[in-house]
Amino acid sequence: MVLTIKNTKQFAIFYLFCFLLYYAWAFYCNLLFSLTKPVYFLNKLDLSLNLILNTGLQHAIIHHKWVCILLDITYFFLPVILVFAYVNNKQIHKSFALFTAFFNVVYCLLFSTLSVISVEVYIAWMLVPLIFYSNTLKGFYFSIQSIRILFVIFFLSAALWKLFTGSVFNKEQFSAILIVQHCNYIVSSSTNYFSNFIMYLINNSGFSYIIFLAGFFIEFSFILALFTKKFDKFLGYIFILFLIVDYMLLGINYFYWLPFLGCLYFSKHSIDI
Amino acid sequence: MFIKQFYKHSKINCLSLAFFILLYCFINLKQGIVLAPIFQYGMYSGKFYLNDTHSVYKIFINDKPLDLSKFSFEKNDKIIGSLSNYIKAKSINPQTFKTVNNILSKLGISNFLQETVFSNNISDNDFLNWYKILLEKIIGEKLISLKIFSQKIMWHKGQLITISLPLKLYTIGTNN
Repeated sequence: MVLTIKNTKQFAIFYLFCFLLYYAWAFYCNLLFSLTKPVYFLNKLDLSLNLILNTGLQHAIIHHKWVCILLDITYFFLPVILVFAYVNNKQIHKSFALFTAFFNVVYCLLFSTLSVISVEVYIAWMLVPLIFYSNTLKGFYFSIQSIRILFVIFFLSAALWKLFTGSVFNKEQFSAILIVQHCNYIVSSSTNYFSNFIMYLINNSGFSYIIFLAGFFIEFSFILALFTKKFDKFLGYIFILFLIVDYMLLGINYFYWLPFLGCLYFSKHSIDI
Repeated sequence: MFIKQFYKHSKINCLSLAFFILLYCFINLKQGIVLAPIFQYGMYSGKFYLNDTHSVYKIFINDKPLDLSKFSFEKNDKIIGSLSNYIKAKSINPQTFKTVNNILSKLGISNFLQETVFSNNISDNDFLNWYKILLEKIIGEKLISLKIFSQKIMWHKGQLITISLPLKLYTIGTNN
């Protein structure tokens, strides 16, 4: 299948659709600066974050509501303008792509430090805008392949970590993870159906270990994507399965990574080099 | 081969990608400070055991224990995460500042970070007032009294058992 201009526009629309869906979710869950109204920040061992914190921007967010509103509005409109400019072939999309990626890094780092959301889930919003920097089909092809490779490496590294630490061989691992993740929930309500279900999984370490191993194999299967694009569709499906189970069992929301699926989907298209 | 074709198409972009991947590998192998947008994706890769001990928060609103099962994962994260992050920030922020400052000093950039902006200028009362509003919004009820305890627990014989006495952390509107 040959990559066409139409495909690049389809990808842009898909990215915007994912972003709008995520923004609506963030709005609904009060996961924006102006709705969270943060009053403190928790620093992390991240050099980029510390350079941003050194500007004092976190205190401006805490003390001035207008800063929160301005950041939230910019965060919303940048991808919208970027996709509009890209789809309509406006040359400004190149600078918008760089600025959106840069702004999203700053916004997501600050939001993570001022809220309870881990910054790692935001990586797609930081990297995917860079795909729209290109203004040729070839450029788009190489950009989307590059982001696809990065996504594969990120996800695969979670499996490699489990091998490196040996946790993949620990039969208690998933039961113990469920305790870490849900201990406050179980203590506050030990009789409801979800607590009972989680306690069943904790008590049946063998069964929960199978779930953990399945998650590990999904992560590890992404090694295939480093050598071939043949299985990208299949990897896309099992990635969605991973996201659903991760959210339902652990309450961890990695749906923010959905834009990466566009990279897997459109990677099957080729160009004449 | 993709890399060869990419290099032919754009040397700068290809080298940037290679540099990003190398830096990603280096940061992951080094296991210390990260450099956004380069992170570590452990996804629960550390070893965990059933007999590990954990700290839980017990929250009493208007003298009734808060039942987290009534709320979504996101709301529970806000209730527990906001509280634990606030407590963590008291010790982690100064430690992190020190570590990052040391790293920058080794890179020859000492005294670059301004210590004053790295601390939260917030009292426990300020935090509790904010937390009270957050809880009221989530539970949809006016909060007259609030008691927060922390307690150590562990998994034993098929259930979570407490292994320490509850430690009172914060209270609002109560003399108990």
